[in-house]
Amino acid sequence: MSSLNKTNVVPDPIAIQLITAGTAAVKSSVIDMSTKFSMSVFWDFSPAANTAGATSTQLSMQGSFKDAGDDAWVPLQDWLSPTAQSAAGALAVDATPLSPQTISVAANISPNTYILFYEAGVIANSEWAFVVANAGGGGPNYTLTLEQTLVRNHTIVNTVVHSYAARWKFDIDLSTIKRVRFCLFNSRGATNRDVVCRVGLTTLDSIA
Amino acid sequence: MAYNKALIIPDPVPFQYLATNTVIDSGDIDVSGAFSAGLFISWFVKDITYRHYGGMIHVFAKTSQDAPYVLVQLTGTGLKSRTGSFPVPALAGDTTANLTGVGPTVAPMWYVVDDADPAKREMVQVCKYHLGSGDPQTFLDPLQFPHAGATPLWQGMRHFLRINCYSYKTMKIVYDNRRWQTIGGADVTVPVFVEIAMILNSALT
Repeated sequence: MSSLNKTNVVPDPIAIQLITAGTAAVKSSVIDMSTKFSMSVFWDFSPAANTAGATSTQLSMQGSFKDAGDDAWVPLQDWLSPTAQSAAGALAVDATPLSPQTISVAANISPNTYILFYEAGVIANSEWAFVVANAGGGGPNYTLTLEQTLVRNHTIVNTVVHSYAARWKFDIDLSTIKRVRFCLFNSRGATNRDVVCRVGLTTLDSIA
Repeated sequence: MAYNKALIIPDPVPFQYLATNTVIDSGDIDVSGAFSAGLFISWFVKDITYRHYGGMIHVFAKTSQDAPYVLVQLTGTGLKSRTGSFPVPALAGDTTANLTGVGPTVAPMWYVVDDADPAKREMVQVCKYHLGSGDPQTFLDPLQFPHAGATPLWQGMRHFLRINCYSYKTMKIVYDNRRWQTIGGADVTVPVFVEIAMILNSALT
């Protein structure tokens, strides 16, 4: 019986970071895929500003048929973020992993959507979560139930909760791709906005 | 076991400038031992007039000397190349330039730098939105070659196609630069730049 070998690529090709409006591009390092079967790409996205009429941020997953050089990159798949205005709000009480699934927040956020606990002071402490219920309560005390326990503490002082966040997974065949890289474009028009992004990666490497 | 991926040399359709009404045929490509083929297509229209429809890339499977079977067809629609030029010489390694002649455009966007020396023609991806002619452009990757002032650039496209080869032994690729038409259906002539590179996945090692 054979089994598959997979690698969670560490560090992330694009670490969690704030990408300000008008940033031409954030490029990952180049990743050798010369013997790999396929990859799963994980894009975490959130607005970091309450900007109306925003332009999408674009993820471009690019592949090359060459072993070196930057003259042969071709988009394997491009993806555009949503443009909806974030309904950002402050936490009414600190959110902790110990009181895991319910938070109180000023924003009236729809169930079955992602939010970002945005920590501007230390971006890496930010955290995505999935909202499964909104019990109301009115601002600034909307009670949201989360799909699972938080990983980190998020304090009233340090945190803004943004709505219209998103997480996507893309499966890409690498049977004819030598190298890949990931690019985020945030200067696609006159109305781009500040966003928070992370790109993670798992590769299917071999059969043993 | 892991994959073995081999670049086909030379390219089935090498990087070249094609006059209108030209047809390029790769000839037969042996894929009898291949799992899959990856086609890397670069395509730039050297014309700034709006074209409704035209040009076509055909990928065929062949089982005999009879007419081949169509696997994939890719055509241009709604194409209108934007064009610009370097007002001053650009240097190899430059990542920005002030192009003239390029009006408001979205980003990212592919261009070919149409250097008078064919060996210095290169493709760049402009990745910063710009409002008007003369505004700074930012390239995703540094320029590979220096370019003289007034060197033109033409807007284009890049595509990737992955094609299974499990059940046939011969493939061929045809780029047909005919059939360009205006939105009213009138035949027109359009020269292009085109390149199709190919990788075959042919072994588990």
